Amino acid sequence: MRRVVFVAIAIVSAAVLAGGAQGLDPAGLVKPGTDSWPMYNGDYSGRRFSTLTKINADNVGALSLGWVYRLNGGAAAANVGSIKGTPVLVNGVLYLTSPDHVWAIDARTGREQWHFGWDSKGGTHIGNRGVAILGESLFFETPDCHLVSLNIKDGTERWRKEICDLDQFYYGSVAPTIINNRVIAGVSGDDLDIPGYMQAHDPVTGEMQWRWYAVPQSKGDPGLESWPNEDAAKHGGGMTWQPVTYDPDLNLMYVTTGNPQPVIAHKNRAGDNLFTASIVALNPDTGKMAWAFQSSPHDTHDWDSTQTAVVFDGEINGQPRKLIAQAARNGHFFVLDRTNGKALVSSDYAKTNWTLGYNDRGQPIPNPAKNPQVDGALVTPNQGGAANWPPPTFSPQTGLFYVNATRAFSVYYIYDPGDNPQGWGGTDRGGWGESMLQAIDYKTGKIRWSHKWEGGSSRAGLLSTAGNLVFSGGASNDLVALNATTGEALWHAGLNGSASNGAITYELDGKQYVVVGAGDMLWTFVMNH
Amino acid sequence: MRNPVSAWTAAALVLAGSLYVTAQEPRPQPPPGGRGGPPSGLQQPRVNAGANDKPGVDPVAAAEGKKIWALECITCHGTNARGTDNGPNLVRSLVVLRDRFGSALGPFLKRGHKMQSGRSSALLSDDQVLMLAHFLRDRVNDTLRGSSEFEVKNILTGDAKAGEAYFNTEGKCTTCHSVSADLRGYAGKYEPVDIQQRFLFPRNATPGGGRGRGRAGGGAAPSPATAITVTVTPPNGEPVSGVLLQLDDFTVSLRDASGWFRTFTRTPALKVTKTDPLAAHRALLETITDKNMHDVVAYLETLK
Ligand code: HEC
Ligand code: HEC
Repeated sequence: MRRVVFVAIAIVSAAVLAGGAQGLDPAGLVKPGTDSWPMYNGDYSGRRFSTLTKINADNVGALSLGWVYRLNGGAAAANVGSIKGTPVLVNGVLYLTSPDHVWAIDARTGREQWHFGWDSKGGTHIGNRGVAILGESLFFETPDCHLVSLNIKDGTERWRKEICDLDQFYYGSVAPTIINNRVIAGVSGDDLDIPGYMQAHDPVTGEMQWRWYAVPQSKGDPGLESWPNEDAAKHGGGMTWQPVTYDPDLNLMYVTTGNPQPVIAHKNRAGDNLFTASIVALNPDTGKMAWAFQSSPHDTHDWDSTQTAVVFDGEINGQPRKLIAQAARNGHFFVLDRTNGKALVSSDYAKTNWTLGYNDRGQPIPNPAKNPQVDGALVTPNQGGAANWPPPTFSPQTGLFYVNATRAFSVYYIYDPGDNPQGWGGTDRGGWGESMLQAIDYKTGKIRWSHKWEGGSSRAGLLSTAGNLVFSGGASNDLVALNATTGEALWHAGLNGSASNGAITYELDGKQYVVVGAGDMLWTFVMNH
Repeated sequence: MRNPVSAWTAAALVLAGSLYVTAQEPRPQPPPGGRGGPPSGLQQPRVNAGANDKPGVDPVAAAEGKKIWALECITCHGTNARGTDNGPNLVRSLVVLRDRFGSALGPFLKRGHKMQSGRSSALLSDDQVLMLAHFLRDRVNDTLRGSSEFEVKNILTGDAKAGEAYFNTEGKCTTCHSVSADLRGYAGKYEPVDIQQRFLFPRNATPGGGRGRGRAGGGAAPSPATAITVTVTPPNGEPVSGVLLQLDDFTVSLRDASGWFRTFTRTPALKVTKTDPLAAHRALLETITDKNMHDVVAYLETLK
């Protein structure tokens, strides 16, 4: 009896996941159409580049307002947070999140189709990066450690699974990614000394399929030699709080990991602290590690290396290469061979003062004098980093990697000078900074052009298009379109606040749209002719 | 933030008086919401239960717990419960992290655990367990970002003489400052860490300020002495100057001396000149060494 019911459910679920008229076929993830933006970065590469040209450097001045949607959490939700995620567009519907909330918005009209509110038990409500979609289901994480699946038609709940432990101060914020019919989910948390991990779930049942820990959990685990002892490694952090990228041909997904724990005071974790602050290639079917590159060995400044690792093919020294590039929070830019993790280019995209150069593996060598000190060490970048979670973009048309860079100084203090600090044990204070959009030539790591945000600063996420454009939030609470080749600012429009995510673009019924979030408002711009 | 201090301080004082006996007073009501309350029979504090990940701590109960800790636990688990060779780190213990007002610690200790007195921990009263639970949660909270334990320690490590030399020569500080004028008696105004922060990042400094705890007041309105000004010269017009309000590729806005807000559309022919009175301070960050920085603080601290 029980078995019969189970089989029936399984058949229904399989049909649902195959993708009906309104759903997302798995093929749409590998080769997304220009009428969709089916995952956080638009496609698996993390490039955030669109081939659309209806809006281009010649006509962008005529871009005009489409509609504006203000997050509405219903009567019960006094504060719905702000848009720090990227909406996903499937079949003319935008799926948008903030912590504990999901909305389905009609992409042509801005009309709300449904809203889902989660009854929260706590957790850090700092931001939510968005949803993943497969078939007629969507998946998102909650601050109180759940991975939740909804029906995209009406926002009704399909299942919920606990993916982390609130008692240990984990929380959920990252947008899951669908790879090979698996829901790939990471975790957040940087208060207590706990390990980061990544896991895969069955999209139909929600069952966990594998878990990979970012830091060694027992004897024999790779990287254990980079910690003083097993206990330090087991509690060593390395949160997986940004969406992964993926190469379908190599069948490798690229996980970016956060800072080691304890965060600032570091006496009890001597060593490189693998695999924190790293780009790690995993097999998405098994969770087994293929290679890792650590961009901040023994980080002591809260410099997560979770910035998007962008996948593209290019040429280095005349040789065609499969590449992956990251502008890391620590101020350094890396281009790696994505088949094996070997660094080909290392450079700084925002001048820093904490290194003694690069080692023979292309990693920055930390200057111990610039570790946090009891009496203070003046360091750039500051804790916020030269870049943070807002996504960069790569244009295959210009060969440039674009990132909003912040050059800020602050003083790092150790508050807990003891031998066994826990948690934070220090922090940075003060600060002065400036920011600029950097266009980096991936072949050399050199800055091709730099657009300074003169009147303030911008950390906004980016979008590039084949229309020779880069879209970025500016320093005047605006969305700005720049010439991708020269950096010249061509168009802007004032928003209700500073852009709080990375813009996306798509074409519906022959019209190209650009959509960006600012605080609790989603703005849509459209080329009407 | 931490320690949402409860209304049950009075109740806790009663408890404190009854350390080794069971409190006779009526039990306060259980906290609203919150998962995993204490097992039946355990004292229910009227402390804010907090979100599931942030249970409240009553400082009075935690202080009482500390006394029991010193008598029965400290030699093995350490002053801050971070472990010794004789007992594990309890700040990282799942028993402690899962505990809500004794819900996990109680059953653990009831099973019988070593204590310094040689007595069995099963003999601890529910109230004693509760106080230990508050003490241990407080030790967990010590480690969190923003913990009140986290304070700047001694930053007066520099050499005042070297700082004075730097101030008068290499640092070029005397071009704009004088220890007998604007910086006269400066040491009396601020804590050393504030001196360090204010001289490195004067734009963040609250005008006036005071001897605080080193949290440089960000977001305060800029003092006239630090405001960035701008002069805009139209192709065939008079220059207009004022405090810069907004500057991007498209427009420039300022408030002029008579108080008017002015905005100009930027064109190649419109001249825009920005003046930052703190440009020297910005440039300083590129060149100053940590030694110079500590020496300058030590020197400024002598300006009594
Ligand atoms: C003689 C040394 C000693 C004393 C005294 C002692 N402990 Fe322990 N404690 C240990 C050891 C060793 C362990 C680990 C093995 C075990 O669980 O018994 C431990 C484990 C624990 C654990 C479980 C940790 C975990 O995550 O499994 C808790 C909770 C604990 N002790 C609390 C206390 C408290 C509260 C006191 C005082 C009332 C105390 N201990 C006194 C040695 C001691
Ligand atoms: C080119 C001029 C200039 C130079 C050179 C300069 N300063 Fe300043 N400094 C300023 C200005 C302007 C302010 C802001 C004053 C105010 O807020 O009233 C300031 C602020 C300060 C403050 C904060 C005062 C307060 O209100 O708390 C300190 C301390 C200070 N400077 C120290 C230094 C030291 C030390 C040097 C040399 C290393 C230096 N300055 C070099 C112009 C300068």
